[in-house]
Amino acid sequence: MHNPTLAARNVSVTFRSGSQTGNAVRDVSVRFEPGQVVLLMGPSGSGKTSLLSVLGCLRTPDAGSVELMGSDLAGCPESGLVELRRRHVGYVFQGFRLFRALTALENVQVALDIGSMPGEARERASEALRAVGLENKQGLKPAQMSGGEQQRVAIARALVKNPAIILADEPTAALDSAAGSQVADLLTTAARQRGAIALIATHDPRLLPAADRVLRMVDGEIAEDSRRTSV
Amino acid sequence: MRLACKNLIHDRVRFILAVAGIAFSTFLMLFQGSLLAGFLRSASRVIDSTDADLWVMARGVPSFDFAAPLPMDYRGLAAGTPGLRAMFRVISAQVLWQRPDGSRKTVSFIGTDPGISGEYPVHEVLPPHTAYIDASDLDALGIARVPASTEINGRRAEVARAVEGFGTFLGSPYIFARYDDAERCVQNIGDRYTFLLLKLAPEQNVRRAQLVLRQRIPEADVWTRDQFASRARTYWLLQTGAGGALLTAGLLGFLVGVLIISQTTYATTMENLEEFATLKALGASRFFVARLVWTQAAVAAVVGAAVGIAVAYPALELARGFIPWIYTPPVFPPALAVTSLLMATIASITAARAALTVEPGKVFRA
Repeated sequence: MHNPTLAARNVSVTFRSGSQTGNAVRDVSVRFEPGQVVLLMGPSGSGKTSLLSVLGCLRTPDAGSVELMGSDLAGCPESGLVELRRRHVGYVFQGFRLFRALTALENVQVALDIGSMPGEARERASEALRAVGLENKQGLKPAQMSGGEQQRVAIARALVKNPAIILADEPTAALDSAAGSQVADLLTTAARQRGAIALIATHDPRLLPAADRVLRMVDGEIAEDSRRTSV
Repeated sequence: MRLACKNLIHDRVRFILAVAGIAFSTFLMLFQGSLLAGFLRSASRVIDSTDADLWVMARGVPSFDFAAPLPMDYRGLAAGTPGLRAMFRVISAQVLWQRPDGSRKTVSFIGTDPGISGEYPVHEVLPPHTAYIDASDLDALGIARVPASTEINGRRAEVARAVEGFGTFLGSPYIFARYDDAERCVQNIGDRYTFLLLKLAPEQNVRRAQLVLRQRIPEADVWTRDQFASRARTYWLLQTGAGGALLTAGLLGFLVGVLIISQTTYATTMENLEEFATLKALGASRFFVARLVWTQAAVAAVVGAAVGIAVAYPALELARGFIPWIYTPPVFPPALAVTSLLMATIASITAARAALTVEPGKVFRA
């Protein structure tokens, strides 16, 4: 894996609600370092999710530029964004977003099927589940698993492609304390072991001890950027 | 493909409903289509069954069943037709058939000169006072078994054979007999037959012979067999209420099929919209998403069509008992399967648009 690079320069994101428009993200510039676990914190509506969407190639910024693995997303066609997402970004969502019809193993495997990833997809998916402690739950469907287990499947799905960038949106919000801690550990450990950038949007203060850096957003701007030395 | 099949199995109630809907519409299309095909086939059945190249008839005769006597004997004028091999007179008229219980029924009595070949039921020289009827008309004519004796327009006749495939929707069964028997029976005067059939040499250009004959007999209509058959079908289909009703029902069956498949495919896609957003967020290409939508629609369409066809065949067989002219061309089932697939494809285009335009960032909202 190349050294991951992710940076935003003067990024603004506009939202439209009916006839009204506003800025979800205002002129944000930020650079992320490989192996860093970064928390993106702030009140609801502060622009965390919008910034995450832009950094994760889910949309292009309305102004400014985003550089991801050496590619400038400004003016990037949709097919280019798809390719970047598939190759370099792993996502973990608050609502897990697992496919109801698929087993845990198939849910992880689908990330490889989409990208026509070479190699033994089934073995790799199985290995990813083992890494999150779900080797005995491979045949279960999401409805048969607890919230914590579902989120671990989602993490396995995000990590199975060995992405350079891991983006997580409120990954512990729907989990109890124990499950939340376990998910936080998995994410941060995986990021550090792989030298990946982990960017986690959260309200959860339990994640603070694991973070290398905390960005606090207010009204679409980064109000505070604090680097932490102890983990 | 795996995700598509798993989705269908997972939502098995919806899948069963989709299959049931598509099966019903396929059944409807096959049944209505068979009625329409049978109706059209029956409308020109006698014409198609002959191997005559040209038909001469009174001006404006729209079909075999509404024949009118030719104004005069044209055999002399037709004799000079280029490449003429044989000529046959045909009398077709409505007469009364007497059942064994004494009740009467109107029938279409067809008398022909011997020698008409093709699928026409009377090739040979029939003995006098002999008639052939269609097997599906036995009950209607009060015949328990063949041979049987009967009375046609007050004259004794022997029903010698029951033929197949000449059931008619008109309600007046076809009775096939000798020309001279029919002539006597309908009290024909002055050799006023209703059709003159011409058989030409194989190398003869039929259209050229038709033009020559039209010039010689300008007061009559001269059609090739296919033209007259087509004219009869068009007449029954477009100028009678029965044909219009069947055509409308057939079109409605098709429209209902299209709507059911479209609605089912679209509803399934909309229900799984968030999963499509997730797929897009994970890096699925537009082609991958479109293929997934299409595969789900196609599997439902193929299974539904297969079930519909499987159910329609016994139903059609059952219907044949009281609608003898119903006909399912062999091309119908594969054509319907392809049609279902095509409809699923068209429906999945609309559904795929919804899946393709869903914003992948939607997945970040809980």
